[in-house]
Amino acid sequence: MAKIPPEKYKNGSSYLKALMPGLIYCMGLGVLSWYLEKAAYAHWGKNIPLNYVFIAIILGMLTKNIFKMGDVFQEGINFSTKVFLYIGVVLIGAKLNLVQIFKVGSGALVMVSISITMMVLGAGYISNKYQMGHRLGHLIGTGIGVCGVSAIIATAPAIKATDKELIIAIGASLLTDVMCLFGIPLLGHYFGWNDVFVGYLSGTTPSNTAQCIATGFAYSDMAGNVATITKSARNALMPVLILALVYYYTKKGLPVGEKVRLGILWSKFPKFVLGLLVLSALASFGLFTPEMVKTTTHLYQWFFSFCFVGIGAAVDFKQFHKRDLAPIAAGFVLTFILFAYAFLFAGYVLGAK
Amino acid sequence: MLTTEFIPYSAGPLQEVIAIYILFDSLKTIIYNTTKKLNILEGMIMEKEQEPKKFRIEEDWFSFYVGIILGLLVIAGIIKHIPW
Repeated sequence: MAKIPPEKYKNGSSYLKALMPGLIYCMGLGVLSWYLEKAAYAHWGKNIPLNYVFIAIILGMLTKNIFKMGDVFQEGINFSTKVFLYIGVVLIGAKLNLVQIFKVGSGALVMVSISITMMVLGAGYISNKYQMGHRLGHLIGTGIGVCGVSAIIATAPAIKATDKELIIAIGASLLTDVMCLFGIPLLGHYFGWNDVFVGYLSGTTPSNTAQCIATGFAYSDMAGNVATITKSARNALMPVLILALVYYYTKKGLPVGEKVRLGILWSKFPKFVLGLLVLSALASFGLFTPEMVKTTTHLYQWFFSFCFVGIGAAVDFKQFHKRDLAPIAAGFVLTFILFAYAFLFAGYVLGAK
Repeated sequence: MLTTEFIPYSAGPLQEVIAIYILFDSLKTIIYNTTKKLNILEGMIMEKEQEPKKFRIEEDWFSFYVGIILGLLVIAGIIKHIPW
């Protein structure tokens, strides 16, 4: 996990200055998306498949690609897409009791354990077949199977991947996420799928945490909650996967950046998931009244709206032209397999459909 | 088939006592950690000339603390009526 403030800043105030432009941009467009959602509901009614999630992402994408925003915004945007997202996830705990988390989470844990194994093996097979190289294949597999950019960044040093492999894998993961972000909620509305089912699909198919949660909340609040729990289970498995890959590379005699040690399980564990569980434990003891749950819901909706603007701003269409087509095609194939698997498992094994 | 409705949960007196204990214990830990970090910061300022150090925290731990503190502020009634 990255540290704040990053090493390159001399002190906290210089970091704060660097954050300001991006934070003002994300917060400004976040507030605008909230206002536009209200205006859309007033005009067309609440049944339209458009909410603050879609509006925030589209505003972020449009401003990034039309106005050619400079690097000065980047630090604040990065902060919004990660830290605001994690804070929002912790706050979701206030509206879920531990029984609900266990109910959804246990099914999700089984589902994502299988999907992660499938993705890593599938990526290894595809990378061999199309001569992309083991490392790139495993990076794309971990990215799409576990949690996108953060899993790729966490795995890359452990298996000594090059910068080029890292950038290609990140590009493939972001591009496939855009497809899921718009595709899953629209399919859900078209076929009239229930919230829990869409939540499982949203938590399993897109690769990045923010995109998973955005996909769920783009459909409904309940789908967003289920997607958050499912994605948290996926994130919790990331350290296990990294340890397994380090073990595999060591055994094969390939260079690795980490030693095989159990400490990886804790050092790579996403700690914000613990925050979700702490607030959920407090909610299970009845400490949050319905009014307080409403307040925390509004709080995390604000954090998410700022974060979702950042997700939109991360989509740079020009960048995708420069990338090799094979890894992106591999990413699309793996995402489609993942979607089909999640559809069958959530629908027929977990009985959510 | 999982239900989609939110099930309200009411606590008994024993659960309330346990919850209040957990709440205060968490607060104590947070205050202890904050004080410890402030002391470290103070120490850093005092020894700035000898050994310049920076206070840095991992993103997920930072989010953990901020999220929990916001949740506790909502329970305490300090944060309420957020418009949406």
